[in-house]
Amino acid sequence: MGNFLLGLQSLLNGQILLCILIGTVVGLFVGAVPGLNDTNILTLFLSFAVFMEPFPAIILMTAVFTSCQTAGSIPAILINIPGTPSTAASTLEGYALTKRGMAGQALGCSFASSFFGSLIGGFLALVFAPVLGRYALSFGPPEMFMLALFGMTAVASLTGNSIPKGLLAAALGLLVGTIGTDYFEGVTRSTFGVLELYGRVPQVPLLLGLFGVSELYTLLGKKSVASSQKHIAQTNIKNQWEGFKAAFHYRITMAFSAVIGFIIGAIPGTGATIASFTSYGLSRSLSKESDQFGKGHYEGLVATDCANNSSVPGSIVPALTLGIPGSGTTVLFLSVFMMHGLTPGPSFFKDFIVEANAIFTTVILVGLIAMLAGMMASNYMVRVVSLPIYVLGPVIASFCLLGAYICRGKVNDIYIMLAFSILAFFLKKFDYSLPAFLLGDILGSLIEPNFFRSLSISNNDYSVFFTRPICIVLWAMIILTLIMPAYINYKNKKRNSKSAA
Amino acid sequence: MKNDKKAPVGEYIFLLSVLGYLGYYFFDIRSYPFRAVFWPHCLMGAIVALVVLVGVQSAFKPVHEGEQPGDIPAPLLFMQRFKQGGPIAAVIAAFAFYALLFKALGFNVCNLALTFWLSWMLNPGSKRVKTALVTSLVLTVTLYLVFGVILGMKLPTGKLFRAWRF
Repeated sequence: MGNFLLGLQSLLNGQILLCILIGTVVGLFVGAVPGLNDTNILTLFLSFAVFMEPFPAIILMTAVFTSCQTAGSIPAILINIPGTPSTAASTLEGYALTKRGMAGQALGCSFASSFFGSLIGGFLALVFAPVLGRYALSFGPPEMFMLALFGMTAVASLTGNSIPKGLLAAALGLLVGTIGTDYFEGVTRSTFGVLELYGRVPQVPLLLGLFGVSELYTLLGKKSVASSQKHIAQTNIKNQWEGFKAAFHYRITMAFSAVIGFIIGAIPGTGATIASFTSYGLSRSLSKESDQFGKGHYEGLVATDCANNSSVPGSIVPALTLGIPGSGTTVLFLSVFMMHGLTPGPSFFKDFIVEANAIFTTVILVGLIAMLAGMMASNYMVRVVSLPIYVLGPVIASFCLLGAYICRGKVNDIYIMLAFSILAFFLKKFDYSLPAFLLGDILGSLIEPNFFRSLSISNNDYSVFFTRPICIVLWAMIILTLIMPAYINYKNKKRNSKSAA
Repeated sequence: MKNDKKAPVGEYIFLLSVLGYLGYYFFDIRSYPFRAVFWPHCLMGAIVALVVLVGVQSAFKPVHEGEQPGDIPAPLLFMQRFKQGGPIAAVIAAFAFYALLFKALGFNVCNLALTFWLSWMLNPGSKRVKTALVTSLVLTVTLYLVFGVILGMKLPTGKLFRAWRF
């Protein structure tokens, strides 16, 4: 609490408060527009940061980073297009709720979960940052491989009705993750000679194709997104409050997801996307209402949005304590520090304790402001879903096409988006899980290089995956995650048969 | 009962396409060193096994009422499916044209044309031209102002317009 008050005290300054407000508004806008994300806006911001003091600049960046995660869920819930890549998991339950005519409730639940994620994540960072920074370094290639494998257990919860179909979608995603230049030999794989695929399949066009354009194909025969116009018309603060309260019915899931998000966020090279999918998978495995997941269940939305937001302070921790960025966006944080001659590292918390605390306090404060602003504005936001398809269709098309292009300024990215939208259309048509495909693609980029790096450092000794302490813990968690649903099912059946008797 | 279990032809074509892509991938990397092919080969093996499993499962999956095409004659069924898939194919073609002409005509013209056509196509009402015009104009101007002017992003103005010094 002392750290929080110390941080809060240093924020009580006109210039800093203005930075927080501007950052929050910019972040809310950027997060809500598909195709724009925190990384590309903060890259543009770097040219301004040279002329600013380092502390206000970092506070402003933190505000953009945090509010972007909250706002990214808005288009994910309303039109099934994730505002930022990290909010892709929010489409799973959020959009399902919208289709049931519960867009207001979904947004209320999402804002509450996002704020709680920021709150818990911020406090965890204030308390554990100096200690956790040291542990983040003990994640070598074998641990990263095991972590990716642990993330793959979430596929089990994303498979839908047919397990083989879910596994096939995940395997296809993993295969798509191998497209591009090989990490070790430098040869190109399955690029069709397209230069834009030499790195790997770009994430934004892939996401927009999978979720945005493919949804447009589905909407072509409909009049609007929501199943019931009546429910949309009734969306008001009461409905949002209903969703807000519903989120707090799942307090344990909230706390659990926030901790998972924070820990995964703190591991360099992971990020919010893996955090939110892993949290979703774990929550579904451990939930008593796991059969409701995928049909528009609050608990799933709580799990994804809480983990997503708590991963923000998590990813800042290694950047400050070790000088190792936890995500793409925190690389830019380090750039600003270095521009001003400051070097984050183990001594940072000794020399700049007040500033470090202020950064994490900003996460909490911005979480609160973003939630309030979102709730006030969402009455207007939900009207998006009641727009007739001849207005909404062109809006979705424009954002997807422009979003695919502006990320890298390459026209071929539009073709890549189109190719994945066609694949997504058929995957959806034949009941293959799109989120499983996406998770496969994301984790594919972690699994292969870390597998070979692990074997390189251990002289091709496979026991490296079984002997290191963190690997053993991760093995135990994998086994637990796979066994737990069966155990819960068994217990539920036993309880039901007892009550029937 | 007639037509109790119809083979899911569409899904089989999809699965065959997946195998076709695997074939391309396999031949693309066939001469590469072990470390570059190990992981893709493992995945390809898994995918082939899963494709076979899914194919067998789909063949034995019971057809629910309402899913089966019933006694509709084949040409009529084809026309029905063409009508359903037609708009999707048209949108894909429009997007491909958009990408093709994006650099030549620029963002403003391409977006205006695409959104006008899309809005016109999706609107069965009587004032479809007027609605489409307003929707496309408002959308294009808004996007240009936000991305091009406020955020200062470089949106293509079009080679043709540059040549005419617009």
